[in-house]
Amino acid sequence: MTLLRFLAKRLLWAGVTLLGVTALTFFVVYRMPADPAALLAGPTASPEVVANIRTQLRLDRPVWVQYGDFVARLARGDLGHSFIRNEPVAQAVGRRLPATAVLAVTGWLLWLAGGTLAGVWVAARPTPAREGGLLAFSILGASTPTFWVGILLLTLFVGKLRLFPAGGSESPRHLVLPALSLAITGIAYYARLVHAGMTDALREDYVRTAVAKGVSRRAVLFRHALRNALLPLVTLAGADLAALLGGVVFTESVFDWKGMGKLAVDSVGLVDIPMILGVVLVSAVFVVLANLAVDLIYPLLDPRIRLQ
Amino acid sequence: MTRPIAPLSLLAAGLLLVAGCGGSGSGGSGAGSGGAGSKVLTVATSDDVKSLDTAKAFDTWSTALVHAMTRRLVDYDLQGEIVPDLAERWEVTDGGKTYTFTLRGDATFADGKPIEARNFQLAIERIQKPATASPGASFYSGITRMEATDPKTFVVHLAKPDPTLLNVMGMTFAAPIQEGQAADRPAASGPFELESYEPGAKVVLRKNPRDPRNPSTLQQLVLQLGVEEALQLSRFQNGEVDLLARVPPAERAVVATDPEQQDNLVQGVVNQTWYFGMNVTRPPWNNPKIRQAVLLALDRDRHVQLAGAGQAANGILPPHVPGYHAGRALPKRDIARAKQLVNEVYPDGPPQSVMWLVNSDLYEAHAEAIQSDLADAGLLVELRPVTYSEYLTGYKSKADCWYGGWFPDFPDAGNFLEPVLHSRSIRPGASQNAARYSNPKVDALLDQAHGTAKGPARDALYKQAEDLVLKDIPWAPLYFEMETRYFRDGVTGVTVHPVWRQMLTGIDKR
Repeated sequence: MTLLRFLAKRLLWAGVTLLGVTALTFFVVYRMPADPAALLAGPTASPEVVANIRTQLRLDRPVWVQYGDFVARLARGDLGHSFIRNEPVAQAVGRRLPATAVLAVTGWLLWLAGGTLAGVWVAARPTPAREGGLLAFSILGASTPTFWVGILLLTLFVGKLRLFPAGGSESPRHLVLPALSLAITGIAYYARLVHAGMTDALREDYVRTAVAKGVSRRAVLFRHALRNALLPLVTLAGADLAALLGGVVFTESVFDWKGMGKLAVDSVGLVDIPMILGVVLVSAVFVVLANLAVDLIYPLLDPRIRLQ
Repeated sequence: MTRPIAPLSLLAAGLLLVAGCGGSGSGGSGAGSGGAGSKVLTVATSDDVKSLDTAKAFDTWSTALVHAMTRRLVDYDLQGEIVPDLAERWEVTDGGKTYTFTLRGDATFADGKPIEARNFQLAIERIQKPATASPGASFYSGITRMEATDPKTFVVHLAKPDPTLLNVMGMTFAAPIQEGQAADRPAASGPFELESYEPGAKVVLRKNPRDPRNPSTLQQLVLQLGVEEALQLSRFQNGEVDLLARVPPAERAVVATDPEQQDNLVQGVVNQTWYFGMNVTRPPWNNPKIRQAVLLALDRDRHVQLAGAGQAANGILPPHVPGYHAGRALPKRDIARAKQLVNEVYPDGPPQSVMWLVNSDLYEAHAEAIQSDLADAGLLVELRPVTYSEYLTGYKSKADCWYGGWFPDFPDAGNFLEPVLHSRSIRPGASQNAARYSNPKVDALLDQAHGTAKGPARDALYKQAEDLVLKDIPWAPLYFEMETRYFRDGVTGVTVHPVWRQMLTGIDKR
C-alpha cells in the first residue's frame, strides 16, 4: 500500500513535470528568431509563398492557441506532424529510439563496468603509480569533450588503421567507436567516484571485522566494501542513463549515428518545432522514469532508506 | 588472492576482437553501396531532404532526387539550353500567351500507365492550390487556364506573354503526377523510381525499367543524408561512397592541384553570385560615394581563394545566365581612392554598422575578409553571425549590410534580378529586395525586358539594367561560385550542370 501510494504520488508529479517541460520548451522554441515557413519556402521564395506556408502550418495563430492544440493532441497520444519531413513525430522518434537505446545502454554499461573495475582495482592495491595514473586518466577523460574523443577515435581507427566504418549505425561494428567514445569520458568519472567510495569503505570497522573473521579478499572487496561504495553511484548512473537515452547529441553527430540526439540537432537546425517538442518530451519522460527507478532501487541497496 | 584484470586491457582486447570479426579493410557493411564494381552509386551529403513531393521539393537534394525520378515537358542540355523531354515539340501562339505542347507517344510512368496531357494539368493545378503550400506556386501564377485537348496535346494559356514559361515547365514542380498518388512518393516518369526513404538517413532509388531513354546502367542510387563533411571524406577514402558532390574548400585545394586526381575531378562555375549587400536606406550605405568606396575596397580575388575555387565577379549576373556580359570589368582595388571617398563623406569617421552572416566557417572567413578590406578604407562593420534559419529572414529585415549568395531558380536574368533589385520587391519587414534599392530606370528596364521574347534584344535590356545597378552599387559582387565533384575510379558522367545544382542522372559506373 505504501509502495502504491508512493508510486501514485510520484506519477502525478511526473505528469505535472512533463507538462511544465512541454510548456517551457514550447515557448522557448517559439521565441527562436527563425521562421520555419521561410526555411521551407527556400531562400528565393516570394513573401506571398512564405505567408501561405505559414498559414498552412498554422503558425499565424497566437502562441497560446498553438500550445492548446499541442496539449490537446498530446492528450490523444498524438505528438504531431513534422514541419519539414513528411512524417508523424511519433514515427520519427520511434524509428530513432532503438539506435539511441543501443548506443546509450552499451556506453552506460561500459561506464559502469569500466569505472567500477578501475576504481576497485586501484583501491584494492593503492600504489602511487596506480593512484596517480587514475587521477591523470580521470582528469584527462572528464575534461576532454566527448566529440573531441570521437574525432580522435575516427582519425585513428578509421583514417589511419581503417579498422572500422566511417560512422553510421547499421551494424555492431558501427557501434564500437561511438560506444567507446562515450565510455572513455564516463569511465574516467565513475572510476574516480568508485575509487573514493572504496577507499573510504575499506577503512570502515565492518571491513576490518570481515577481514579479521577470515572473509576472502574478493568477498571483502565486492560484497562488503563495493556495495556501500556504489550507493552514490546509483543516483548518478540512473540520471546518466536517462540523459543518454534522451539522445547522445555530440557522439551521434560525430559518428552519424541515426539516433535521437542527431534527430534533435537536425530538428533545431531546421526549426522543426513539432519534432523538437517530441524529442524533448521523450527525453523528459526518460529522466522522470529514471528518477523514479532510482528511488525504488535505493531501499533495496540500503535498508536504512525508506520510501516516503 | 585474485587480482582484478586491468579494465583498459579488457577494452582493448574487445575492440580488436570486434574490429577483426568484421573482416578486413573498409567496413563495407556500412554504406550500403554494395562495394566497388556493383551497379550501385552511393553519394553522401550533409544536407537533409525536405520533401520528395513534386509540389514541395525545392532544396538542392530534394530537387535532385525528384529530377532523377521524373521527366518534364522540357529539360536542359549540358550547356543549359532548353531541350524537349516529354514534349516532342511546342508552339507559341496568341502573341506569346498560348503554349501548345505535343507529347511523345511512347512515354509511360513506372507502373506502365501512359503519361498524358492531363497528368501535367493535375500537377500544375495542385501547385496553384493554396492548400498545397507549394514553394513553387508563384512560378505558375501567370497561368490562367490549361487544357488537355487530347491525351497528347497540352495547352497552357497565360494572362500575359511570359518568355520564361518553358523554364517554368522544366522545373521539377511541373513533373506529371497521377490522380490519387501518395504525396511523398513521386509517380516515376524518369530514369529512377523510389525504393525507400528514411528521413534524415537515406534515400534509395532504383532504375525505372520503363524509361527507355535512360542510358545509365546503374541499378541503384543511394543518397546518404546528414553526413558531416569530414565523415563523407572518410567514407570516400574507405570506398563506402562513390561520389563527393561537394568537396570542402581545404580538400579541394589539395585534390585540384594533384595531377593524379584530375581524372576523378570535375569543376565548373554555377549560377551563384556571392556579394556584399548594403541596405541603401541606412547610413553609411545610403551615400553613393560610400558604396563606391566599398566596390574599390573589396579584394575579389581573395574571396576566390577563400572559397577554394571560383571566378572573381565582373558583374551581378553569373556566367550561365543569358545576358551575362563577359567583357565587363569592375574597377580594380584602390584603397587610397576608397579612403578618400569615405573621408569626403565622413571627415570624422563613418558610423559603425552590423553585418549579417551565417555562422559557418566559410561564411565567417569571407565576412572577416570583407570586414578587413572595409576597415582598410576606414569603414567599420561589426559581424553578426547567426544560424541559417535566422539569417534567412534576418538579413531581409534587420541587417545594415550582409554577406550572401543569390542564385536564380532557372537561368534567366529577370528571374535573378527582379526579386532582389526591382523596387516592387521592397516590403516592410522581410524584404526580398533587402538592399531596399529603388531606381525607376532599372525598374522600367526590368519590366520591359520581362515581356520581351528571349534573344539579343532582351539580353541587351538586362545588360542596361545591370550597368545601372553597378553604378548605384546596392550590391558589391565578389565571386561566382565554382563547384567541385570528386569521384572514385570507374564512375563516369559526373557533371557540374549549369542549371541543376546537383544532378544524379547521366552518371554511370564501370
